[in-house]
Amino acid sequence: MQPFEFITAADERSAIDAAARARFLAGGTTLVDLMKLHVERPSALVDINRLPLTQISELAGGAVRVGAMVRNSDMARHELIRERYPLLAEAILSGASPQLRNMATTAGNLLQRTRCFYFRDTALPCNKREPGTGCGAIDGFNRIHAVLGGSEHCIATHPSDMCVALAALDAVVVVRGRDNERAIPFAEFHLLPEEHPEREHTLNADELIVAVDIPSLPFARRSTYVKVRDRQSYAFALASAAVALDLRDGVVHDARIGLGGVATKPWRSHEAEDALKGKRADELTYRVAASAALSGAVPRRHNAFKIELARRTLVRALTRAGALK
Amino acid sequence: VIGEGIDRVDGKLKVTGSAIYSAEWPIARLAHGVIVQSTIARGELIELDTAAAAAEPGVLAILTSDNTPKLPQQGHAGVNPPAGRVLSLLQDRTVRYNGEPVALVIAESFEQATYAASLVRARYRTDIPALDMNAELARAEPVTGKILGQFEPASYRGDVDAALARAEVCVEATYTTPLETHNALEPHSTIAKWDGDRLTLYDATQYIYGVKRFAAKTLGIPDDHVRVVAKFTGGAFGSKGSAWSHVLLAALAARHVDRPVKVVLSRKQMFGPVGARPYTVQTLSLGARRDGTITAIKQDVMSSTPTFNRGSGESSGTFALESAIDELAYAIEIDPLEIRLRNYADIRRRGARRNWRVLRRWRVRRRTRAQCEKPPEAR
Repeated sequence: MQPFEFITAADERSAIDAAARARFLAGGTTLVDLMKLHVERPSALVDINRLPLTQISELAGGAVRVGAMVRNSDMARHELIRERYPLLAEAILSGASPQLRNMATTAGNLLQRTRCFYFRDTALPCNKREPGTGCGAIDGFNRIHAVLGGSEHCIATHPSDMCVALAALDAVVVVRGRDNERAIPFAEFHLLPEEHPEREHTLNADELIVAVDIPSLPFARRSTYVKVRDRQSYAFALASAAVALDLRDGVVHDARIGLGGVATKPWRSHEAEDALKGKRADELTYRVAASAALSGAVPRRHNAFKIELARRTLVRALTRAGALK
Repeated sequence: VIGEGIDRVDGKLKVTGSAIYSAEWPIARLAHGVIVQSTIARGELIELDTAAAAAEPGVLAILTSDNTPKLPQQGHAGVNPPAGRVLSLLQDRTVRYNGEPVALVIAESFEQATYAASLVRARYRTDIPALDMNAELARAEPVTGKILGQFEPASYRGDVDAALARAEVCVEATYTTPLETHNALEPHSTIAKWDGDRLTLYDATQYIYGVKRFAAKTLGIPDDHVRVVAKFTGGAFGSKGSAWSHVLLAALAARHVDRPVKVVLSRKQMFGPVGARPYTVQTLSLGARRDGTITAIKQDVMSSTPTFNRGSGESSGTFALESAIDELAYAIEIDPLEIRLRNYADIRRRGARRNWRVLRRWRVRRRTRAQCEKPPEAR
């Protein structure tokens, strides 16, 4: 680990003031690991664990605000989340381990880094870690890599489960800088790799995430998260699907679909949602929607299986959600 | 006593954290060694730039092939081929595999050594590595000598080809098993301490006498000048049956800085430089009568260089053999358990009968399952 300066922020203001020259340290479940691997080499850390951003509260109009420092475990078990957004609670609980979820925070989860082997090994080329060095994965071992949203420079997946549900829910990321506060729609928060895989989000250097707002979505009570992985616990998704269905008389009136494990950012599939709307809620409809969701997929040498796996994962999630009362 | 729980002798020590593992001995003036590994799979080290690492606070020394003492027989004195492993003891600049030790940074603290090790820069002449065992087989030579001086590399009984030619039913199948790394909870770790010309190794090992002899031979000192201590072992799976490079590197480092030196492998270093259960390609040919009596078994095994592991050879070999017997059972439409009972030839047959009730329950379950499954076409 590279020697670094350690700053403790007593309040939001001092955290934001330090942000330009330091990295925020929240749960540390990604950052500290990557510092040990010399992948992350910040010269200073600002510990934000004392900031009182730990509340989950209801906003006017039925939305729910989740503080940036709410631990993943607390979020998954909170009544408002469990009752109104089952897909989100399930997504969080499917990720990592209890110990990690007890430490990991809402904001940190949004900013977690990819599990790409090439990114995590400083002996190998990686455009995300060292821009311009090339991508080891595109012609290398890419079984765990993305089939959606990749570029010729990077095909690393975004590893989060929680974010897949947040993408489906149209969450809003609330951030504060020195002189401003702004709200970033979830779809605009994470960036596709394109020419610059090292840029992963639209947060400015001096901005601190203070909360994530989840809009009211009554039909999200009929929702679920299905995650498929190499082993049943403590593993990242090979494919996952977060779905919410608004069914009226057996017909899909509205739907929300997020995909994980297959894309370079938390993936919202409007194509699949459009394919569902107005159709009977049956297996044929689900299959058509799943095909639409993966229609733009680009397979690589070892990950072509993910296309069919993601389709089936989505069909299973839709079937499960459709059967909920 | 049967049926009652018995406390493990070391149970309380382990669950209360008071058991002392090899890396935990409180040794005065202890320094810490961290291994720098190659980042290519084959080639030659052209330059190793250690200047930045050496300038870091706390760094005591950096062992490389330039300043490491030359050992008897280039460090191979203790090796017993083909089972023994050639270690990487900084005797030359050749790189034989990815992750091979190319330097050891010794510092006052583990953190200082780890950081300094990350600053060592290597430049290589890269050769094309042999990464595909199957592609290399044409150039491979069979092992003909006894393994460990005891075991024949191949065994034969009867005329298997003739028996296969006469068999009523034949099944042939090829199975591969991947390389499987053994990764104990306690990583490999060693503290080396010299008192004059006597060496004490606090080593995470399953085989203290093996390490003692191996270390003595490799270093060129008498056996009774080496003492190996291992009070507890935190898992091994066979991986701690051999002494790996870090054991001798710790000894060399301790002599170099004239202080006790501890080397603990990181989890990442547990993949590669410390052996593994090998990759295998096994072709099985079985001949049998229609009633399931097996008349011929031919098991042709190609394996990458193995090291000690749990059930060396047996785990991989049994997987292939038993899979082929299953194929044979399907080919002649006999229950997979029944075919085994028909060929049961152990002298402890009576023991098998005592287990008959258990086996019958198992067989009923198999049959229930079999009704739902269409057997594959006979090969």
